[in-house]
Amino acid sequence: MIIFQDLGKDYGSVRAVDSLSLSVMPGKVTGFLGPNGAGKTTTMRMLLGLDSPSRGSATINGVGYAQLLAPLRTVGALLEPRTGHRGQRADSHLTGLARSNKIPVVRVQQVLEEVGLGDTGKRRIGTFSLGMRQRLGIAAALLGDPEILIFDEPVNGLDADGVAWIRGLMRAKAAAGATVFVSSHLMSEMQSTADQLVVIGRGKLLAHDSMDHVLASSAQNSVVVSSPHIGILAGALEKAGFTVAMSGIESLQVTAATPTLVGGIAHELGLRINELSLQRASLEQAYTELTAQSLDYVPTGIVEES
Amino acid sequence: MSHKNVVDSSIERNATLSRSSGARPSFGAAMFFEATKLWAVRSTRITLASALIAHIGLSWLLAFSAKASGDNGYESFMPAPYMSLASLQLAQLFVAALAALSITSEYSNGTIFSSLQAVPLRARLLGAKAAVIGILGFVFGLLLIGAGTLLAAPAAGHYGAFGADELLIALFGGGFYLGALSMMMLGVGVLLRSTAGAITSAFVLIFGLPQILPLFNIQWLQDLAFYLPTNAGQILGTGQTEPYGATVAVLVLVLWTLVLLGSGIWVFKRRDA
Ligand SMILES: Nc1ncnc2c1ncn2[C@@H]1O[C@H](COP(=O)(O)OP(=O)(O)O)[C@@H](O)[C@H]1O
Ligand SMILES: [Mg+2]
Repeated sequence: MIIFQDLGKDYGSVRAVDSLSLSVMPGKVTGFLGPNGAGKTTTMRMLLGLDSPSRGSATINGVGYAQLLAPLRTVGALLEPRTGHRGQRADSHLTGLARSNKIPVVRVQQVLEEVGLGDTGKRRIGTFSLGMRQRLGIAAALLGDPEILIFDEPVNGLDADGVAWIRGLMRAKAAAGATVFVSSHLMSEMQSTADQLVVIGRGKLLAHDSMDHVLASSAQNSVVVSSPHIGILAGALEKAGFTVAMSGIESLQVTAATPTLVGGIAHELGLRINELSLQRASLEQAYTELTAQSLDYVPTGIVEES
Repeated sequence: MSHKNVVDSSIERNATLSRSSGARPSFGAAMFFEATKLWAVRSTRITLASALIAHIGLSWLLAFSAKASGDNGYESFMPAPYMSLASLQLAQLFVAALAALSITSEYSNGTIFSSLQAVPLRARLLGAKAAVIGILGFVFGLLLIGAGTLLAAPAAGHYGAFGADELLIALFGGGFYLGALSMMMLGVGVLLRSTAGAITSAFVLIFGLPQILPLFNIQWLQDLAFYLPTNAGQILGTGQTEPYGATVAVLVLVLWTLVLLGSGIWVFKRRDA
């Protein structure tokens, strides 16, 4: 299990990560979302002991990364597409990593095949495309058959097949009990992959919830109701505090409502209803809402950085 | 499968992993790792081959000119192993660059991240690299001195006559010097993280300072020049006793290594990767 406790990181005057506290559970894919510059990579780097936290801690199974007995057998991480010396052969890169953690060298060919690079092991990494390098990075992460996978923007550089493949891989690993912690700035990536969502903006935790909850609690969820008595119904709904908008000659869109609430009001008034349906927000909308506040500050953030 | 079961099985699984794996990545495993990385890149082999060719070429040239001068009546006697040692002036640059590149290329390629993920104990990772680089420098030094002597001896004829003791002094001195220099340059590479910066520093340390310091009309600066690594190596590899002997020469080289590599490790442990 991964635990962040009051984790913080400053780069000069930039607060990249700000008092982040959360735990990431096994058996699930946890999506780590936030706009560019939100602090996702920094958080993952601290978890892997590459950057030291300014405050707080990030632990894996209760200890810091450097204290792990066999790091590559416990945690597999993909941080950047750049992995391995350009002049080194792909299989030799993995063999070196295997030797460092006493992982049987037969794993090298196994993971190369698992990521679809089975017949490219003898090629120099410098000749690889971005997508192939990404796959090689994932092969390195899988080398020690770790129980925890940490992927930073893993779909970068992958084609459509690659994206579908890595989604399937993450789902399968989580189903087998692994902890999968994966970052993205694209909400659409997460919708069909993650069970849990962690959303950050400007280094701060904005939401940590199950995917279902985030979707259900979004203010963008709305109810479409159609009735021959649309005027009366609209008045009653507004009186009850809902925001309504006409969405057709005889239909209304009621924001942040549920079919039960709208149906109940219509029933009290004895109004006939022809249609009553829930319009679920897409994750994209939910995400935009969540990060809207933190995005307000982005322009100043950009000025600070440049 | 209930949530609790998932947690339990993961804890169990972790326990078996820990049991089977023993200690954290050991120093030996880290050295194995570093040796694999170093040897796997073609540029290592190309650099070493270039150094060898440059070295035997220069050794032969020194021997040839010693014979030519001698035949013309000039005093040009020098034991062949010492000609080979003098030729290290050129080959050492290749070795210094290789040592610095072994870490600066990790920064430019981003391999430093995967290396630290594999061996997160930083002093262990860099210590293992220093050991591999140092051993490589030492062994390669032996090879260079030996090969240079082999070519210089016949070319110099009796102007390069030598005994076993002179060969041993040059072999050990050259090997020790190159091993120490490699570790120093690794330290500089860690400190600067830039290939260009590290190679510039190598030039300054190897060629610049030994030339510049004696130009000053200040006694202690001139004396300091004797204690530069290059001069200590020269003294060690040619069995000189002035201004100091082999013991002091070894100490001087060890001290330079401790300071440069030591500060490299100190910074490496504290700096964000
Ligand atoms: N090494 C660094 N030095 C200075 N600022 C940094 C450094 N790394 C990240 N930052 C800053 O920290 C913030 C978070 O960056 P990052 O973690 O890369 O975000 P994300 O991965 O979510 O896009 C950004 O403002 C970024 O500019
Ligand atoms: Mg990032």
